[in-house]
Amino acid sequence: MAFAARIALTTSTSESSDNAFERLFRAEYSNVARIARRILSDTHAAEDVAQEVFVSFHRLHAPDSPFAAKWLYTAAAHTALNALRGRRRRERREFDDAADARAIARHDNPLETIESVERRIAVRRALGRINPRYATVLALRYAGLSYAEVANALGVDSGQVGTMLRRAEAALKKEFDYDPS
Amino acid sequence: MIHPDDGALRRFCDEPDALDDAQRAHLESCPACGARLDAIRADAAFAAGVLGAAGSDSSQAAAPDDLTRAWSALRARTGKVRRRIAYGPWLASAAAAALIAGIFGFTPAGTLAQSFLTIFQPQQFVAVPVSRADLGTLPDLRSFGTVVARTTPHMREVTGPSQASALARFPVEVPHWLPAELPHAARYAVTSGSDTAFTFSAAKAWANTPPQSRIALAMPRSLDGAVLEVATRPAVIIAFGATLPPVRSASHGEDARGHQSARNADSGDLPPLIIVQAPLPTVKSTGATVAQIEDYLLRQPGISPALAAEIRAIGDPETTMPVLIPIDRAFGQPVTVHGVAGLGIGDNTGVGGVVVWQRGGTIFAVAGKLRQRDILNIAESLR
Repeated sequence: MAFAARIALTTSTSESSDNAFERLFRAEYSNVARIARRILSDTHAAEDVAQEVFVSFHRLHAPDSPFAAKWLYTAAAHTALNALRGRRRRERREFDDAADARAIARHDNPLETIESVERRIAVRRALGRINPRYATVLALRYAGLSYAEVANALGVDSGQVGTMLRRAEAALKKEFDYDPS
Repeated sequence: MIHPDDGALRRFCDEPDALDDAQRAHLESCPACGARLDAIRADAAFAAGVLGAAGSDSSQAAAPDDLTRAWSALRARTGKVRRRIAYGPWLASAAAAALIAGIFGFTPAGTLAQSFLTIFQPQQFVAVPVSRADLGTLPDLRSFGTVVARTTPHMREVTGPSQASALARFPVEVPHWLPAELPHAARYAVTSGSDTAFTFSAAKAWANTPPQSRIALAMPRSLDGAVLEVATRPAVIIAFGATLPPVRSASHGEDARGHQSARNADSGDLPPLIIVQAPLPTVKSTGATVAQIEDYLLRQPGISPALAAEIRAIGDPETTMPVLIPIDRAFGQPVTVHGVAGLGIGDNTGVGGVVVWQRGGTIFAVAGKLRQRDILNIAESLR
């Protein structure tokens, strides 16, 4: 009678909570996926991260939590950074890189595409090497969050965001200069 | 004039109003600040170049189709994920374990009408392997009827086993052996009972079935209007090692928690060991039998033929609880605890497991991020 279990699962999540969670998802999914994409340079991997982040949130917090957005944003950045470093993701990236190579072969302008692929790989490497807090600031800001939103997500004063961003960009540039491959 | 710091200059690159008139005038006349601004601009332009191109996306929202697809995928996952109950972190974790009790903890409501018959009383547990695809397409009961939850589940932390026994009204057992590496301090909680009714509705099922399948999948008359009464009595949860070290750094605040939770999305939020004890469940019905309900639900398109066959193969559905085991993530095997048959469920990665068994009218579950052997030893030491 596995369906008894389904009854419990179905009833214990109230209708209104479901609706609130869907509203939150529809309002924030794009932001969450975009933050992950800034770090992973990979749309599909970023969507996986976004799913993971929302599942975690759903498991832990009420959808109308006042900190929902900032939790989702920072979790997106952290989860993407972890994915970047994870062994499985690395394998997946290698696979994706192979897919990139196939795309290059089909592309009208292979040189241009090769540059683009190389840059994506270099971005991932650089973001994986710099201080995670800097990588997070870059992901949030370049995903389109305002200074105030970045400050709120990171729990810092709005005035600090410029300083953090400056240091993060300098670190990113230095990482590229050090190892552009 | 004080020179603007790097942070102010960086913000000025994005927001010209970040500096006031005097500061802007200073920039024009101060070669040092001008040089700093140029360097900051160059690094910002570089970052925008590589990060702007990195995701090859714009700042626009996802297309409605993509959003809907993503939402469907998420629903398929969250349907199986237990929501936390809003208490402290360890209680929230324990609530996940309480799901185990919730699944097994159905007991008759206190005041049931005479017409209700006990149709389900699990004495044993059988593993039914399911694929992720199977899990994703399990039918939603709300498509076949109406669910009314008459109580809101809640959980209360108590001081120890004696208070837990008094509140839950059954003698709580505690482990007498624990692995050395596990913190031996325990926290106790008692969940409330709950009382839920499900009424089958042929009209609702008809409306939720594609027109071409309505005849084949029509709900039998015997089920239309039949009511299932599902109630839980208080269950006891014991959590060990619940004081997980918080992943917190200066000024990280909430996001540090996010980091930890997201990183350990599957198991990290659970304490290393949880023991759940719940009174023996029953599900009561106004007349529909388990066979009728199973026969109807197993015909639904969301149930794969293989899964339906597995469940039908269980000879005595009135006393056997099939436990769905996602084959890509876990495995199930028969175990013996206190001389009775139980079910062991292990994580495929070897990092955790659950043992469930029934003895003397109580369902026991021991779950932890421990080796299966240790979980079994803990289970055996309960008394």
